[in-house]
Amino acid sequence: MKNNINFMKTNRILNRALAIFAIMVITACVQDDDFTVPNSVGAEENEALQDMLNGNAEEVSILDLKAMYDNDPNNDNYHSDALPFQVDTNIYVKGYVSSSDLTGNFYEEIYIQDNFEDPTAAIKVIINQTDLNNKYNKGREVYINLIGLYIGEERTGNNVITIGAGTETDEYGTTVTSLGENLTNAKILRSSSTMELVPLTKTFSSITDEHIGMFVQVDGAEFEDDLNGLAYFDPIEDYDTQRTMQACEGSTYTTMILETSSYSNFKNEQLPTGNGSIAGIISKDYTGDTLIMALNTTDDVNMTEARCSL
Amino acid sequence: MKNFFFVFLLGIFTAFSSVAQQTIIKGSVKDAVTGELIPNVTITIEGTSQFTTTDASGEFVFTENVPLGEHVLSLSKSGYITARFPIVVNQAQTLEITDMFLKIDVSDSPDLFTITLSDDELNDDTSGADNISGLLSSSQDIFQRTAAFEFSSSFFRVRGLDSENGTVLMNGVEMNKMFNGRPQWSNWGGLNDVMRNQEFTTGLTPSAYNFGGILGTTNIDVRASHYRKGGRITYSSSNRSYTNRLMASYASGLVEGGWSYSLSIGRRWGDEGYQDATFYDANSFFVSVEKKINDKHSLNIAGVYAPNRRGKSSPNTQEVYDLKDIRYNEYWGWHDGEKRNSRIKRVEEPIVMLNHYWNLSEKTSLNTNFAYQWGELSNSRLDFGGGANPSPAYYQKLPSYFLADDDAPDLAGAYEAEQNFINNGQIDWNRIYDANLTNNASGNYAAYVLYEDRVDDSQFTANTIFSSELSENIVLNASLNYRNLKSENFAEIIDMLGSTTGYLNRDAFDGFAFDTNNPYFVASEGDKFRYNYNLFSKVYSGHVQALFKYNKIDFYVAGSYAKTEYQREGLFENGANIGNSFGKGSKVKFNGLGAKGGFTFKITGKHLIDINAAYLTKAPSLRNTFTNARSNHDIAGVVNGVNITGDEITEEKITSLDASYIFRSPLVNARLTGFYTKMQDANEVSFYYADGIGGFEDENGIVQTNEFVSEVLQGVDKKHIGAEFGIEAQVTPTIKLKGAASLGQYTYDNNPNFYLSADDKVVTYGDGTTNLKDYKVSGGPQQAASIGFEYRDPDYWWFGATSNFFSKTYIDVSPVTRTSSFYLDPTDGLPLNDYDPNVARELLKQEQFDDYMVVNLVGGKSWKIGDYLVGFFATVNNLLNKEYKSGGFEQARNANYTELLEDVNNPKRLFGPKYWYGRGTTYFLNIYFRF
Repeated sequence: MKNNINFMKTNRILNRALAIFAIMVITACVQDDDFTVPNSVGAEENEALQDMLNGNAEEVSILDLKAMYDNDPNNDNYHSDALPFQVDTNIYVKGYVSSSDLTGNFYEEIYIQDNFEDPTAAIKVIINQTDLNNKYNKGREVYINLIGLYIGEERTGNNVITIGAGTETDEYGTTVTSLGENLTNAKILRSSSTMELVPLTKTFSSITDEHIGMFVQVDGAEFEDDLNGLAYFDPIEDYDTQRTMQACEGSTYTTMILETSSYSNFKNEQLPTGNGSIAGIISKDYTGDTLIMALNTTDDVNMTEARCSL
Repeated sequence: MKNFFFVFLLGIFTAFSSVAQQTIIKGSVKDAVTGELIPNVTITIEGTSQFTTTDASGEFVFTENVPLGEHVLSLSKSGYITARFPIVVNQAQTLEITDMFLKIDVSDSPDLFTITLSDDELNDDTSGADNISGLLSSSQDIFQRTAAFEFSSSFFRVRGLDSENGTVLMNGVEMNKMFNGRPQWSNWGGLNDVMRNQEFTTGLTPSAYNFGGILGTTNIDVRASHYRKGGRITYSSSNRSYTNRLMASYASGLVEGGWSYSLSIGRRWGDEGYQDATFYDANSFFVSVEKKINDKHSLNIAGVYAPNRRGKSSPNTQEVYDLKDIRYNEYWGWHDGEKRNSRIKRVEEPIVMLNHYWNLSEKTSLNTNFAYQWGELSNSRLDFGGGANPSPAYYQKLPSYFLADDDAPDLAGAYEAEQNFINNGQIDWNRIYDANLTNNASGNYAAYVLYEDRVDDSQFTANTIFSSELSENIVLNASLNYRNLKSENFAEIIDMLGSTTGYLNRDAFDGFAFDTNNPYFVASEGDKFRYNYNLFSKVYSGHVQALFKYNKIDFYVAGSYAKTEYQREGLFENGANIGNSFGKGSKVKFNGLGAKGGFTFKITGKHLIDINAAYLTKAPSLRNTFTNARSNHDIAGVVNGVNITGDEITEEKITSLDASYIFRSPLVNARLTGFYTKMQDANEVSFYYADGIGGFEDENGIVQTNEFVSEVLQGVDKKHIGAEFGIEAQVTPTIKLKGAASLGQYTYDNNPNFYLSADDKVVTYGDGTTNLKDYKVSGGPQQAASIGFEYRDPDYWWFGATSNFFSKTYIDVSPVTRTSSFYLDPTDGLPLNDYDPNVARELLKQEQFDDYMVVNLVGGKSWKIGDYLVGFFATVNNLLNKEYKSGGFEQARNANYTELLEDVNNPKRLFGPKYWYGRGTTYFLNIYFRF
């Protein structure tokens, strides 16, 4: 009998212990694994953007912004005396991202143009970060709060006007430097809209420095005859490979260079042998002398028709 | 009652002589509190190898070979304080001792032990802590006990050996994982009450259950009938790994109809351990039921289920520790105000087993076991196929990167990086989600996903263990074992992190398909990606041993054989390993043989000499056989079907010797042991992202900066030599002094084969070896010592303190920098122009960490209230908050002389070694209630 009582007592204690245990198990949460998109994603940036737009900052056009920098102050065609212009007024610029580093063909840079269709001006921004496409995606509407930033070039005299964070000087002149992470987050503010970019259709002969940074399409283009069977990138090159494109304009071939980086993931793809359209970003080669086109992606190449003849 | 603490001094017993001609010692053992007879108490006649256990009614008897004269009886049982009783044995008389009492161990030391080890750190593979070896039980031996309680938090390893050298059994069933040979302690974590019946044989000492590793065998006894009747509730609080622990258990003892059962449940949880964001979430369930069918047969069924999840913590460079502190963990970031850890280890591997106990005769028994274990083991991490490296401590985000700018130190950049790291320095989950949302908008695949590296094992084990007393002097043990494992290995996406576009199952850097059978597969949550393969393993093994016991000498001989067979089956055809990846690979077979023997020579009852020797060969673990299982069928020495090293994969060979002098007196116990172990022909496989290591150029000759390589060392020899010492002295009835020390030297003993492989590419340097000979083996201090005391007040309270000294802890050296690639120009094979051997010697010198001392305190008290016992104990570890490095490794970057020199000469090293630091001051509090 005594054993029975003991047993019941034990049971009672055990039951209570189990009850307490159950409560603790239920109430004691730790990190679980069903996280959702944080509410705070984009909140800070949006707030900064609204503050800027609702504040007393003034919008300037990309064209006007580029004009603030003079890469040949004394008009002698030498550029080593050019000085980047530091913005000291409360202005901002609005634009649409035209380039994408998704394929690795652009590196730590974006271009923005003043409209998603029929752009009239474009500018480059250099940012000390990779994989910018997952933030400043192509077609994204961005606002750059300019005060304190510099307008200049990365290589003096190449006429690729660039927004940078600071300056550095060497024997060739003074150039702008990249925006670091903090400055990028504080200055380059995205709105929520992403637009479909409509490429500006041009002919090779009509492309000039004013198109630098724009997403431009050329129809009736093809690669030069002797490039048949080659890839976008030439393995013996270290950094960039230049492939000449041509188009039949009247009685002559007009040409332009397509430049492809060794880091692009399409570098081993074969050049198309047909004729058709190609769309990319207009820029300058390394020396700054020659206009080039650089692809965002080979999806923008549609050269499947018969080659043209003069 | 209070005097029962010192019952060995005051023990009252009666002895009378009987008329029998035989010399007999018999008696019974009772619980000092309840007065109940205690079964399963081990009674040893000290200085002899004679021992027996009390039966179900708490009685025991020695009838054979009983030594005459003055002796000491030692009574021990897990959960009780070991007691020693002096006796006098007379020829042809029966000595009957009826009033021996055992006191419950209020210090709860087995619990203490498992707290410091299994709950806490052993399941944390990031720190290498799951590799603490051999400290498998709270042993009687003062050295083993000190190693367990005082040395373990410094990752000390007994004799410098990995835990794969010790065998852990549960009811005779081997629990060491076939993947790496190590026991997965977390599989039974939080079940301390029911895991405390442990039988531990150290070193080469023969175990009744198996041949065992060279560190010994622990058998965790979970037979329902072997638990003391009663229940127990425990609550614990700590700031080490979990914050709270609650456990409840109950055992029925033997009840009507021959049944007994035991149950236990436990929960451990906490938002953060000592390291930042190391949350802890573990539940434990245990049930064991035994039916005694008759005197000959008994059946036991047991189930163990201990699912647990833990946030992991990172090793860091000294630069990072200096900017943050030793609690810093780079794996977490804020997610809507919550600390979210990206690296979670999850283990859910239930075990069920059926055990049959058959007493063939009074002297012969056969124990047959069937066990099945299945479940999931996973480690999560972020993949960043379309984004920048999310690690906040990535080298390009740290000040050192800006200071090392080729032109001139970028001070502004360094300052910005420093401030960012100090003020934030954690994973930016918002940015990760934002990247994926942005990619949703632009129709690109996810930039980031969170995935698990999964190992889903299912293992069946069957064995039978035979034991027979052939004569008064000879015991024969034998076993036969069969183990069959299917291990499914794959990566699985567990969180798309806001992406709706999916994640392309192709290599982000080289662009090849991870599965050419489905080359443009877009994976989303719940999908397997990256790699998917099975490993199959079968092991047939057996052992036979004979133990001989005589008055002056005990000795044993044992032999074993194991046949092991491994096979890989690829379920993906890796695009960079076509033809060597998909389907079943060839079977890899090994034969392991073992032999050991030893003796204990009793000079007198006080002075003993113990000598053991073993030679064994064993199959390498799965981990050290398949060198790149995620991608291909390669095994050690072979890349893409071609033997690279000229040496076939082979069994590891281990030679081990030890010799001890043991001194025992009623006041002082001491042991001094010298040991020597040589391990040969081992393989070591490790994986890392090699950045700028020569040999991995793409087709354009550009050195691949993000090549995931497997580093293979084949034919590694190591030599472990040293001495260990332990002493305890009961200087007064209440005060015990204790000391222990281990002085070892553990070194690489040859220059093993070395190569790096990435997919079908392979790189060797010079003569194909790496110059590791005489470098020290990393992993815990090679020298450790402890002194301390315990005070046990007759009034049920006690405390103790120890000072522990550690030295000769070495960094894990990077083998690639010890190859000739370090000083030879890869293009012409000539030494680098600027090579200076004296500077090189300095650069390649193995870092030895600073010596340190850690003070630990422990104390407790218990109260008896009616039939119940209530008590608590508390420990404080590292009382003086000493900061010390417990381990570290060199990064395999900047692997040649010029680069390494440049890095070392930077204002701050970019690729300095990564370290683990020991914990600062921590506490553990345990409150329990027994009924």
